[in-house]
Amino acid sequence: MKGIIFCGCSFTWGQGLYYYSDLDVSFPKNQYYYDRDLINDAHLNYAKTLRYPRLVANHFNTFEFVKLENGGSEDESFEFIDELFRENKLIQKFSHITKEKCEYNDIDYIIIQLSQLYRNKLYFELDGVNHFTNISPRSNYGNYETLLKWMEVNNFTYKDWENILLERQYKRLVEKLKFYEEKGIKTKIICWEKDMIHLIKNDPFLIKRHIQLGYGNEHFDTIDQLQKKHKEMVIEFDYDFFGDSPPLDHHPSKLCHKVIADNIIKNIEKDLK
Amino acid sequence: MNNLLSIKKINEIKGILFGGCSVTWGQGLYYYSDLENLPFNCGYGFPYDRITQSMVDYKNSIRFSRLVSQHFETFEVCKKDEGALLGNGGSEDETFVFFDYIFDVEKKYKYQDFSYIIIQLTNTFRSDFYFNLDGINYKTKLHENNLYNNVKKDTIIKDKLEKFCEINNFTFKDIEDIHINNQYNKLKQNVLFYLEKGIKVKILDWTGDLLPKNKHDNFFDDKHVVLNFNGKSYDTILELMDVNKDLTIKNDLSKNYGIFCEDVHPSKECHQIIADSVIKSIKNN
Repeated sequence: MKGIIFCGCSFTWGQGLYYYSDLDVSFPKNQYYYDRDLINDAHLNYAKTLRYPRLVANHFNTFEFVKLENGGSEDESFEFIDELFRENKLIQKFSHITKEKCEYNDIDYIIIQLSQLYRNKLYFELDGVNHFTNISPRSNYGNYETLLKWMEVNNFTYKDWENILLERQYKRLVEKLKFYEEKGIKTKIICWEKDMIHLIKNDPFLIKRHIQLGYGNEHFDTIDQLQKKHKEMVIEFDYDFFGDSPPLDHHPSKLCHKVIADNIIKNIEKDLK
Repeated sequence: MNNLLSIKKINEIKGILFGGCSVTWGQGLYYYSDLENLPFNCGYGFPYDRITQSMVDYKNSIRFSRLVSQHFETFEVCKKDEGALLGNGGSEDETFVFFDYIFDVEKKYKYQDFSYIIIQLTNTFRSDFYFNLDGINYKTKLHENNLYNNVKKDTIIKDKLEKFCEINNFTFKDIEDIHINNQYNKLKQNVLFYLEKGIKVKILDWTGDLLPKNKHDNFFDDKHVVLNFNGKSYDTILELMDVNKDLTIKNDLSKNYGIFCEDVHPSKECHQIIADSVIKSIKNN
Protein backbone atom coordinates (compact mmCIF):
# COMPACT_ATOMS: atom_id res chain seq x y z
CA MET A 1 0.00 0.00 0.00
CA LYS A 2 1.30 3.44 -0.96
CA GLY A 3 0.08 6.63 0.74
CA ILE A 4 -3.53 7.59 1.38
CA ILE A 5 -4.92 11.12 1.07
CA PHE A 6 -7.79 12.01 3.38
CA CYS A 7 -9.74 15.18 2.87
CA GLY A 8 -12.80 16.64 4.46
CA CYS A 9 -13.73 19.11 7.14
CA SER A 10 -13.27 19.19 10.91
CA PHE A 11 -14.57 15.60 11.08
CA THR A 12 -11.53 14.38 9.16
CA TRP A 13 -9.18 16.78 10.92
CA GLY A 14 -10.20 15.32 14.26
CA GLN A 15 -11.62 18.34 16.05
CA GLY A 16 -12.19 17.64 19.72
CA LEU A 17 -10.19 14.41 19.94
CA TYR A 18 -7.66 16.15 22.18
CA TYR A 19 -10.29 16.08 24.92
CA TYR A 20 -9.51 12.38 25.25
CA SER A 21 -5.91 13.13 26.23
CA ASP A 22 -4.42 13.69 29.63
CA LEU A 23 -3.04 17.03 28.46
CA ASP A 24 -4.15 20.37 29.87
CA VAL A 25 -6.97 21.44 27.60
CA SER A 26 -9.84 23.90 27.83
CA PHE A 27 -13.35 22.63 27.23
CA PRO A 28 -15.33 24.61 24.61
CA LYS A 29 -17.87 27.19 25.69
CA ASN A 30 -20.48 25.77 23.33
CA GLN A 31 -20.93 23.26 20.53
CA TYR A 32 -19.72 25.59 17.82
CA TYR A 33 -16.83 27.15 19.69
CA TYR A 34 -13.34 26.63 18.30
CA ASP A 35 -10.43 28.77 19.37
CA ARG A 36 -7.30 27.79 17.46
CA ASP A 37 -5.15 29.69 19.95
CA LEU A 38 -6.12 27.26 22.70
CA ILE A 39 -4.96 24.26 20.67
CA ASN A 40 -1.22 23.66 20.90
CA ASP A 41 1.06 21.24 19.09
CA ALA A 42 0.62 18.57 21.75
CA HIS A 43 -3.17 18.70 21.31
CA LEU A 44 -2.84 18.59 17.53
CA ASN A 45 -0.47 15.67 17.56
CA TYR A 46 -2.65 13.81 20.02
CA ALA A 47 -5.72 14.29 17.81
CA LYS A 48 -3.77 12.98 14.83
CA THR A 49 -3.13 9.70 16.65
CA LEU A 50 -6.84 9.05 17.22
CA ARG A 51 -8.43 10.38 14.05
CA TYR A 52 -9.64 7.91 11.45
CA PRO A 53 -7.03 8.76 8.78
CA ARG A 54 -4.20 7.64 11.09
CA LEU A 55 -6.13 4.53 12.15
CA VAL A 56 -6.62 3.53 8.51
CA ALA A 57 -3.01 4.30 7.56
CA ASN A 58 -1.72 2.38 10.58
CA HIS A 59 -3.76 -0.63 9.59
CA PHE A 60 -2.16 -0.70 6.16
CA ASN A 61 1.32 0.15 7.51
CA THR A 62 1.51 3.27 5.46
CA PHE A 63 1.32 7.06 5.68
CA GLU A 64 -1.49 9.52 5.31
CA PHE A 65 -1.82 13.09 4.07
CA VAL A 66 -4.40 15.28 5.81
CA LYS A 67 -5.05 18.98 5.43
CA LEU A 68 -3.03 21.15 7.80
CA GLU A 69 -5.74 23.35 9.27
CA ASN A 70 -9.14 22.55 10.68
CA GLY A 71 -12.44 22.83 8.84
CA GLY A 72 -13.19 22.66 5.16
CA SER A 73 -15.48 21.98 2.27
CA GLU A 74 -15.19 20.09 -0.99
CA ASP A 75 -13.77 23.28 -2.56
CA GLU A 76 -10.96 23.19 -0.04
CA SER A 77 -10.54 19.43 -0.27
CA PHE A 78 -9.80 19.65 -3.97
CA GLU A 79 -7.53 22.65 -3.45
CA PHE A 80 -5.66 20.52 -0.91
CA ILE A 81 -5.23 17.63 -3.33
CA ASP A 82 -4.18 19.98 -6.14
CA GLU A 83 -1.64 21.57 -3.83
CA LEU A 84 -0.19 18.21 -2.79
CA PHE A 85 0.34 17.25 -6.42
CA ARG A 86 1.34 20.65 -7.76
CA GLU A 87 4.53 20.40 -9.79
CA ASN A 88 5.94 23.83 -9.04
CA LYS A 89 7.31 23.21 -5.57
CA LEU A 90 8.75 26.68 -5.18
CA ILE A 91 5.53 28.64 -4.85
CA GLN A 92 3.04 27.62 -2.22
CA LYS A 93 -0.40 28.67 -3.31
CA PHE A 94 -2.29 27.25 -0.35
CA SER A 95 0.34 26.97 2.39
CA HIS A 96 -2.35 27.03 5.09
CA ILE A 97 -3.79 23.86 3.58
CA THR A 98 -0.60 21.84 3.28
CA LYS A 99 3.14 22.24 3.18
CA GLU A 100 3.63 18.71 1.85
CA LYS A 101 4.20 17.52 -1.70
CA CYS A 102 3.80 14.21 -3.45
CA GLU A 103 3.42 12.60 -6.86
CA TYR A 104 0.39 10.78 -8.21
CA ASN A 105 2.30 7.52 -8.12
CA ASP A 106 2.98 7.93 -4.37
CA ILE A 107 -0.71 7.50 -3.60
CA ASP A 108 -3.01 4.47 -3.75
CA TYR A 109 -6.21 5.98 -2.32
CA ILE A 110 -7.99 9.27 -1.91
CA ILE A 111 -10.76 9.24 0.71
CA ILE A 112 -13.09 12.20 0.41
CA GLN A 113 -15.33 13.06 3.34
CA LEU A 114 -18.12 15.26 2.05
CA SER A 115 -19.06 18.12 4.33
CA GLN A 116 -22.02 20.51 4.34
CA LEU A 117 -23.02 21.47 0.82
CA TYR A 118 -23.44 25.21 1.43
CA ARG A 119 -19.81 25.60 2.51
CA ASN A 120 -18.85 25.38 -1.17
CA LYS A 121 -18.77 28.49 -3.28
CA LEU A 122 -21.73 29.24 -5.52
CA TYR A 123 -20.68 31.53 -8.35
CA PHE A 124 -23.34 33.73 -9.93
CA GLU A 125 -23.68 36.87 -12.00
CA LEU A 126 -25.77 39.85 -10.97
CA ASP A 127 -26.01 43.07 -12.94
CA GLY A 128 -23.00 42.04 -15.04
CA VAL A 129 -20.80 41.49 -11.99
CA ASN A 130 -19.47 38.08 -10.90
CA HIS A 131 -20.11 37.11 -7.28
CA PHE A 132 -19.85 34.07 -5.09
CA THR A 133 -21.17 33.01 -1.69
CA ASN A 134 -20.35 30.05 0.49
CA ILE A 135 -23.15 30.52 2.89
CA SER A 136 -26.76 29.40 2.98
CA PRO A 137 -29.44 32.04 2.33
CA ARG A 138 -31.02 30.78 5.55
CA SER A 139 -27.91 31.26 7.69
CA ASN A 140 -28.06 33.29 10.83
CA TYR A 141 -24.61 34.72 10.16
CA GLY A 142 -22.62 36.29 7.32
CA ASN A 143 -23.63 38.49 4.42
CA TYR A 144 -25.77 36.96 1.70
CA GLU A 145 -27.75 39.98 0.54
CA THR A 146 -26.34 39.76 -3.00
CA LEU A 147 -27.31 36.12 -3.17
CA LEU A 148 -30.86 36.92 -2.07
CA LYS A 149 -31.06 39.65 -4.71
CA TRP A 150 -29.83 37.23 -7.38
CA MET A 151 -32.44 34.70 -6.27
CA GLU A 152 -35.14 37.36 -6.37
CA VAL A 153 -34.15 38.58 -9.84
CA ASN A 154 -34.21 35.03 -11.14
CA ASN A 155 -37.26 34.03 -9.14
CA PHE A 156 -35.29 31.24 -7.40
CA THR A 157 -36.56 29.59 -4.24
CA TYR A 158 -34.34 28.20 -1.48
CA LYS A 159 -34.80 24.78 -3.04
CA ASP A 160 -33.67 26.13 -6.43
CA TRP A 161 -30.53 27.54 -4.80
CA GLU A 162 -29.85 24.20 -3.17
CA ASN A 163 -30.40 22.28 -6.41
CA ILE A 164 -28.14 24.55 -8.44
CA LEU A 165 -25.35 24.24 -5.87
CA LEU A 166 -25.90 20.51 -5.54
CA GLU A 167 -25.83 19.91 -9.27
CA ARG A 168 -22.57 21.82 -9.65
CA GLN A 169 -20.95 20.04 -6.72
CA TYR A 170 -22.10 16.67 -7.97
CA LYS A 171 -20.66 17.26 -11.44
CA ARG A 172 -17.37 18.51 -9.98
CA LEU A 173 -17.13 15.50 -7.67
CA VAL A 174 -17.59 13.03 -10.53
CA GLU A 175 -15.17 14.94 -12.74
CA LYS A 176 -12.47 15.14 -10.04
CA LEU A 177 -12.74 11.52 -8.96
CA LYS A 178 -12.53 10.34 -12.56
CA PHE A 179 -9.43 12.48 -13.01
CA TYR A 180 -7.68 10.88 -10.01
CA GLU A 181 -8.77 7.41 -11.08
CA GLU A 182 -7.16 8.06 -14.47
CA LYS A 183 -3.96 8.82 -12.57
CA GLY A 184 -4.14 5.36 -11.03
CA ILE A 185 -5.52 6.42 -7.65
CA LYS A 186 -8.57 4.69 -6.24
CA THR A 187 -11.18 6.95 -4.67
CA LYS A 188 -13.71 6.51 -1.87
CA ILE A 189 -16.45 8.75 -0.51
CA ILE A 190 -17.86 9.07 2.98
CA CYS A 191 -20.70 11.49 3.71
CA TRP A 192 -21.29 13.56 6.80
CA GLU A 193 -24.73 14.84 5.78
CA LYS A 194 -27.35 13.55 3.38
CA ASP A 195 -27.22 16.46 0.89
CA MET A 196 -25.76 14.48 -1.97
CA ILE A 197 -26.66 10.94 -1.00
CA HIS A 198 -29.58 10.59 -3.46
CA LEU A 199 -27.34 11.65 -6.33
CA ILE A 200 -24.60 9.28 -5.22
CA LYS A 201 -27.06 6.40 -5.03
CA ASN A 202 -28.32 7.08 -8.53
CA ASP A 203 -24.87 7.32 -10.05
CA PRO A 204 -23.22 3.98 -10.91
CA PHE A 205 -19.74 5.54 -10.71
CA LEU A 206 -20.24 7.18 -7.31
CA ILE A 207 -22.23 4.44 -5.61
CA LYS A 208 -19.33 2.03 -6.12
CA ARG A 209 -17.13 4.42 -4.25
CA HIS A 210 -19.47 5.37 -1.44
CA ILE A 211 -18.66 3.78 1.91
CA GLN A 212 -21.62 2.94 4.08
CA LEU A 213 -20.94 2.95 7.80
CA GLY A 214 -21.70 -0.36 9.43
CA TYR A 215 -22.09 -0.48 13.20
CA GLY A 216 -23.37 -3.63 14.81
CA ASN A 217 -26.04 -4.96 12.48
CA GLU A 218 -26.98 -1.53 11.16
CA HIS A 219 -25.77 0.39 8.15
CA PHE A 220 -25.78 4.14 7.73
CA ASP A 221 -25.34 6.25 4.62
CA THR A 222 -23.94 9.20 6.54
CA ILE A 223 -21.98 10.00 9.68
CA ASP A 224 -24.88 12.18 10.71
CA GLN A 225 -27.28 9.23 10.66
CA LEU A 226 -24.84 7.13 12.67
CA GLN A 227 -24.47 9.91 15.23
CA LYS A 228 -28.20 10.50 15.50
CA LYS A 229 -28.89 6.83 16.18
CA HIS A 230 -25.92 6.30 18.49
CA LYS A 231 -25.34 9.35 20.63
CA GLU A 232 -22.03 8.04 21.97
CA MET A 233 -20.62 8.75 18.50
CA VAL A 234 -20.68 12.44 19.42
CA ILE A 235 -18.10 13.82 21.86
CA GLU A 236 -20.68 15.74 23.86
CA PHE A 237 -22.67 12.58 24.52
CA ASP A 238 -19.71 10.33 25.23
CA TYR A 239 -20.61 9.78 28.88
CA ASP A 240 -18.66 6.52 28.99
CA PHE A 241 -15.44 8.46 28.59
CA PHE A 242 -16.17 11.79 30.18
CA GLY A 243 -18.66 10.96 32.90
CA ASP A 244 -21.45 13.45 33.57
CA SER A 245 -19.82 16.46 31.92
CA PRO A 246 -18.49 15.74 28.46
CA PRO A 247 -17.06 18.69 26.51
CA LEU A 248 -19.67 20.57 24.45
CA ASP A 249 -18.42 19.36 21.11
CA HIS A 250 -20.59 17.90 18.36
CA HIS A 251 -17.70 16.31 16.50
CA PRO A 252 -17.17 12.56 16.13
CA SER A 253 -16.11 10.80 19.32
CA LYS A 254 -13.08 8.58 19.60
CA LEU A 255 -15.37 5.59 19.03
CA CYS A 256 -16.91 7.23 15.98
CA HIS A 257 -13.48 7.71 14.42
CA LYS A 258 -12.80 4.03 15.08
CA VAL A 259 -16.07 3.03 13.42
CA ILE A 260 -15.35 5.21 10.38
CA ALA A 261 -11.82 3.78 10.16
CA ASP A 262 -13.02 0.18 10.43
CA ASN A 263 -15.48 0.72 7.61
CA ILE A 264 -12.89 2.30 5.33
CA ILE A 265 -10.45 -0.52 6.09
CA LYS A 266 -13.09 -3.14 5.34
CA ASN A 267 -13.97 -1.42 2.09
CA ILE A 268 -10.35 -1.11 0.96
CA GLU A 269 -9.66 -4.71 1.90
CA LYS A 270 -12.42 -5.77 -0.49
CA ASP A 271 -10.47 -4.04 -3.28
CA LEU A 272 -7.29 -5.82 -2.29
CA LYS A 273 -8.82 -9.31 -2.40
CA MET B 1 -5.81 28.33 30.69
CA ASN B 2 -9.27 29.88 30.93
CA ASN B 3 -12.25 27.61 31.40
CA LEU B 4 -10.02 24.74 32.39
CA LEU B 5 -12.18 22.03 33.82
CA SER B 6 -11.10 18.83 35.36
CA ILE B 7 -11.13 16.07 32.80
CA LYS B 8 -11.35 12.40 33.57
CA LYS B 9 -7.85 10.92 33.35
CA ILE B 10 -8.31 8.67 30.40
CA ASN B 11 -5.00 8.27 28.72
CA GLU B 12 -2.37 8.05 31.38
CA ILE B 13 0.44 8.52 28.92
CA LYS B 14 0.88 11.96 27.45
CA GLY B 15 3.28 12.55 24.59
CA ILE B 16 6.54 10.64 24.12
CA LEU B 17 9.69 12.47 23.03
CA PHE B 18 12.29 10.49 21.09
CA GLY B 19 15.92 11.46 20.47
CA GLY B 20 18.63 9.48 18.73
CA CYS B 21 20.46 8.99 15.45
CA SER B 22 19.54 7.40 12.11
CA VAL B 23 18.21 4.38 14.00
CA THR B 24 15.51 6.54 15.57
CA TRP B 25 15.03 8.51 12.36
CA GLY B 26 14.22 5.24 10.58
CA GLN B 27 16.87 5.29 7.86
CA GLY B 28 16.15 2.78 5.13
CA LEU B 29 12.61 1.90 6.19
CA TYR B 30 11.31 3.45 2.97
CA TYR B 31 12.71 0.39 1.19
CA TYR B 32 9.73 -1.53 2.57
CA SER B 33 7.23 0.75 0.84
CA ASP B 34 5.53 0.25 -2.51
CA LEU B 35 6.73 3.67 -3.61
CA GLU B 36 8.56 4.12 -6.87
CA ASN B 37 12.17 5.22 -7.45
CA LEU B 38 13.47 3.81 -4.19
CA PRO B 39 17.25 4.39 -4.10
CA PHE B 40 18.30 0.75 -3.62
CA ASN B 41 21.53 1.15 -5.53
CA CYS B 42 23.09 4.01 -3.60
CA GLY B 43 25.58 2.08 -1.49
CA TYR B 44 25.88 2.36 2.28
CA GLY B 45 25.48 6.14 2.50
CA PHE B 46 22.34 8.20 2.95
CA PRO B 47 20.93 9.25 -0.43
CA TYR B 48 19.27 12.39 0.92
CA ASP B 49 18.87 13.88 -2.55
CA ARG B 50 16.78 10.91 -3.68
CA ILE B 51 14.48 10.75 -0.67
CA THR B 52 11.01 12.14 -1.35
CA GLN B 53 8.39 13.47 1.05
CA SER B 54 6.41 10.27 0.63
CA MET B 55 9.43 8.12 1.49
CA VAL B 56 9.97 10.21 4.61
CA ASP B 57 6.31 9.92 5.59
CA TYR B 58 6.36 6.19 4.98
CA LYS B 59 9.39 5.55 7.19
CA ASN B 60 7.80 7.70 9.91
CA SER B 61 4.76 5.46 9.84
CA ILE B 62 6.67 2.25 10.65
CA ARG B 63 9.63 3.38 12.76
CA PHE B 64 9.73 2.31 16.40
CA SER B 65 8.76 5.73 17.77
CA ARG B 66 5.41 5.60 15.93
CA LEU B 67 4.83 1.98 16.94
CA VAL B 68 5.36 2.82 20.60
CA SER B 69 3.16 5.92 20.61
CA GLN B 70 0.50 4.12 18.58
CA HIS B 71 0.42 1.36 21.19
CA PHE B 72 -0.29 3.88 23.94
CA GLU B 73 -2.71 5.86 21.74
CA THR B 74 -0.65 8.97 22.08
CA PHE B 75 1.67 11.11 20.00
CA GLU B 76 5.41 11.04 19.44
CA VAL B 77 7.74 13.94 18.82
CA CYS B 78 10.97 13.32 16.93
CA LYS B 79 13.42 15.62 15.19
CA LYS B 80 11.82 17.31 12.19
CA ASP B 81 12.61 15.88 8.76
CA GLU B 82 14.25 19.10 7.69
CA GLY B 83 17.63 20.42 6.62
CA ALA B 84 20.33 19.08 4.33
CA LEU B 85 20.14 15.59 5.82
CA LEU B 86 16.34 15.73 6.37
CA GLY B 87 16.85 15.48 10.14
CA ASN B 88 18.65 12.15 9.83
CA GLY B 89 21.61 11.20 12.03
CA GLY B 90 22.63 12.50 15.41
CA SER B 91 24.60 12.17 18.60
CA GLU B 92 23.78 12.48 22.30
CA ASP B 93 24.86 16.13 22.20
CA GLU B 94 22.51 16.76 19.28
CA THR B 95 19.71 14.96 21.07
CA PHE B 96 19.96 17.28 24.05
CA VAL B 97 20.21 20.33 21.81
CA PHE B 98 17.01 19.11 20.12
CA PHE B 99 15.23 18.73 23.47
CA ASP B 100 16.39 22.20 24.58
CA TYR B 101 15.22 23.60 21.27
CA ILE B 102 11.67 22.33 21.48
CA PHE B 103 11.20 23.37 25.11
CA ASP B 104 13.22 26.59 25.34
CA VAL B 105 13.60 28.01 21.82
CA GLU B 106 10.66 26.89 19.71
CA LYS B 107 8.46 26.55 22.82
CA LYS B 108 5.77 24.61 21.01
CA TYR B 109 5.70 22.04 23.79
CA LYS B 110 5.80 22.21 27.57
CA TYR B 111 7.47 19.70 29.86
CA GLN B 112 4.05 18.61 31.11
CA ASP B 113 3.02 17.58 27.57
CA PHE B 114 5.25 14.51 27.88
CA SER B 115 5.19 11.42 30.06
CA TYR B 116 8.31 9.83 28.61
CA ILE B 117 11.56 10.65 26.89
CA ILE B 118 13.23 7.81 25.00
CA ILE B 119 16.92 8.45 24.38
CA GLN B 120 18.57 6.19 21.85
CA LEU B 121 22.31 6.29 22.50
CA THR B 122 24.53 6.26 19.48
CA ASN B 123 28.29 6.16 18.92
CA THR B 124 29.72 8.27 21.75
CA PHE B 125 32.45 9.64 19.54
CA ARG B 126 29.91 11.43 17.39
CA SER B 127 29.72 13.98 20.21
CA ASP B 128 32.46 16.56 20.49
CA PHE B 129 35.35 16.36 22.96
CA TYR B 130 35.79 19.68 24.77
CA PHE B 131 39.15 20.85 26.10
CA ASN B 132 40.93 24.01 27.15
CA LEU B 133 44.38 24.90 25.86
CA ASP B 134 46.22 28.10 26.70
CA GLY B 135 42.98 29.61 28.06
CA ILE B 136 41.04 28.90 24.88
CA ASN B 137 38.12 26.43 24.74
CA TYR B 138 38.10 23.96 21.84
CA LYS B 139 35.77 21.25 20.69
CA THR B 140 36.73 18.49 18.33
CA LYS B 141 35.69 15.13 17.03
CA LEU B 142 38.14 12.42 18.02
CA HIS B 143 37.71 10.04 15.09
CA GLU B 144 37.73 10.74 11.37
CA ASN B 145 34.81 8.40 10.70
CA ASN B 146 32.53 10.40 12.99
CA LEU B 147 32.72 13.55 10.90
CA TYR B 148 29.53 14.64 9.20
CA ASN B 149 29.71 15.00 5.46
CA ASN B 150 29.77 18.55 4.22
CA VAL B 151 29.51 20.16 7.66
CA LYS B 152 32.45 22.56 7.66
CA LYS B 153 32.51 23.28 11.38
CA ASP B 154 32.77 19.58 12.13
CA THR B 155 36.54 18.97 12.23
CA ILE B 156 39.35 17.37 14.13
CA ILE B 157 41.67 20.00 15.60
CA LYS B 158 44.58 17.62 15.54
CA ASP B 159 47.45 19.97 16.38
CA LYS B 160 45.70 21.52 19.39
CA LEU B 161 44.59 18.16 20.69
CA GLU B 162 48.11 16.75 20.41
CA LYS B 163 49.48 19.71 22.31
CA PHE B 164 46.79 19.25 24.97
CA CYS B 165 47.81 15.59 25.32
CA GLU B 166 51.49 16.47 25.50
CA ILE B 167 51.01 19.12 28.21
CA ASN B 168 48.79 16.84 30.30
CA ASN B 169 50.74 13.67 29.55
CA PHE B 170 47.63 11.99 28.10
CA THR B 171 47.65 9.21 25.55
CA PHE B 172 44.90 9.16 22.92
CA LYS B 173 43.34 6.25 24.85
CA ASP B 174 43.25 8.49 27.94
CA ILE B 175 41.41 11.13 25.91
CA GLU B 176 38.87 8.54 24.70
CA ASP B 177 38.27 7.41 28.29
CA ILE B 178 37.87 11.00 29.51
CA HIS B 179 35.42 11.63 26.67
CA ILE B 180 33.36 8.56 27.55
CA ASN B 181 33.32 9.59 31.20
CA ASN B 182 32.29 13.15 30.27
CA GLN B 183 29.51 11.90 28.02
CA TYR B 184 28.27 9.53 30.70
CA ASN B 185 28.08 12.34 33.24
CA LYS B 186 26.39 14.60 30.72
CA LEU B 187 23.81 11.93 29.98
CA LYS B 188 23.12 11.43 33.67
CA GLN B 189 22.80 15.17 34.32
CA ASN B 190 20.34 15.54 31.47
CA VAL B 191 18.29 12.55 32.56
CA LEU B 192 18.15 13.94 36.11
CA PHE B 193 16.99 17.27 34.70
CA TYR B 194 14.05 15.70 32.84
CA LEU B 195 13.16 13.46 35.77
CA GLU B 196 12.89 16.60 37.89
CA LYS B 197 10.53 18.00 35.27
CA GLY B 198 8.28 14.99 35.83
CA ILE B 199 9.20 13.15 32.63
CA LYS B 200 10.28 9.52 32.90
CA VAL B 201 13.29 8.53 30.83
CA LYS B 202 14.14 5.32 29.04
CA ILE B 203 17.48 4.58 27.40
CA LEU B 204 17.94 2.50 24.26
CA ASP B 205 21.55 1.61 23.68
CA TRP B 206 22.80 1.10 20.15
CA THR B 207 26.54 0.55 20.58
CA GLY B 208 27.23 -0.04 24.29
CA ASP B 209 29.80 2.76 24.47
CA LEU B 210 28.53 4.35 27.68
CA LEU B 211 26.44 2.16 29.93
CA PRO B 212 28.56 -1.03 30.12
CA LYS B 213 31.67 1.00 30.95
CA ASN B 214 29.95 2.51 33.99
CA LYS B 215 28.45 -0.56 35.60
CA HIS B 216 29.53 0.65 39.05
CA ASP B 217 26.60 3.07 38.86
CA ASN B 218 23.11 1.57 38.99
CA PHE B 219 21.44 4.87 38.02
CA PHE B 220 20.43 3.60 34.59
CA ASP B 221 19.39 0.09 35.63
CA ASP B 222 15.66 0.87 35.67
CA LYS B 223 15.92 3.15 32.66
CA HIS B 224 17.87 0.93 30.29
CA VAL B 225 15.58 -0.87 27.84
CA VAL B 226 16.61 -4.49 27.43
CA LEU B 227 15.74 -5.83 23.98
CA ASN B 228 13.90 -9.13 23.90
CA PHE B 229 13.80 -11.35 20.84
CA ASN B 230 13.14 -15.06 20.47
CA GLY B 231 13.46 -15.68 24.20
CA LYS B 232 16.82 -13.95 24.51
CA SER B 233 17.75 -10.58 25.96
CA TYR B 234 20.13 -8.06 24.43
CA ASP B 235 21.60 -4.94 26.03
CA THR B 236 22.26 -3.13 22.77
CA ILE B 237 20.67 -2.86 19.33
CA LEU B 238 24.06 -3.69 17.80
CA GLU B 239 24.23 -6.94 19.77
CA LEU B 240 20.67 -7.82 18.74
CA MET B 241 21.51 -7.24 15.08
CA ASP B 242 24.86 -8.97 15.35
CA VAL B 243 23.37 -12.20 16.67
CA ASN B 244 20.30 -12.01 14.42
CA LYS B 245 21.79 -11.04 11.09
CA ASP B 246 18.45 -10.78 9.28
CA LEU B 247 17.47 -7.80 11.41
CA THR B 248 19.45 -5.50 9.13
CA ILE B 249 17.68 -4.04 6.10
CA LYS B 250 20.43 -5.38 3.86
CA ASN B 251 20.06 -8.99 4.96
CA ASP B 252 16.29 -8.87 5.29
CA LEU B 253 15.76 -7.48 1.79
CA SER B 254 18.24 -9.89 0.31
CA LYS B 255 16.85 -12.98 2.03
CA ASN B 256 13.14 -12.24 2.09
CA TYR B 257 12.60 -9.97 -0.91
CA GLY B 258 15.48 -10.85 -3.23
CA ILE B 259 16.56 -7.21 -3.34
CA PHE B 260 20.17 -6.05 -3.16
CA CYS B 261 20.66 -3.05 -0.93
CA GLU B 262 23.61 -2.08 1.26
CA ASP B 263 21.69 -0.32 4.03
CA VAL B 264 22.59 -2.00 7.33
CA HIS B 265 20.16 -0.04 9.50
CA PRO B 266 17.51 -1.84 11.57
CA SER B 267 14.94 -3.67 9.48
CA LYS B 268 11.19 -3.21 9.77
CA GLU B 269 11.06 -6.24 12.07
CA CYS B 270 13.92 -4.85 14.15
CA HIS B 271 11.96 -1.61 14.68
CA GLN B 272 9.02 -3.72 15.85
CA ILE B 273 11.29 -5.58 18.31
CA ILE B 274 12.69 -2.29 19.62
CA ALA B 275 9.15 -0.89 19.95
CA ASP B 276 7.90 -3.99 21.77
CA SER B 277 10.81 -3.79 24.20
CA VAL B 278 10.20 -0.08 24.89
CA ILE B 279 6.49 -0.77 25.41
CA LYS B 280 7.31 -3.59 27.84
CA SER B 281 9.73 -1.39 29.73
CA ILE B 282 7.16 1.43 30.00
CA LYS B 283 4.50 -1.01 31.16
CA ASN B 284 6.87 -2.30 33.85
CA ASN B 285 6.82 1.19 35.33
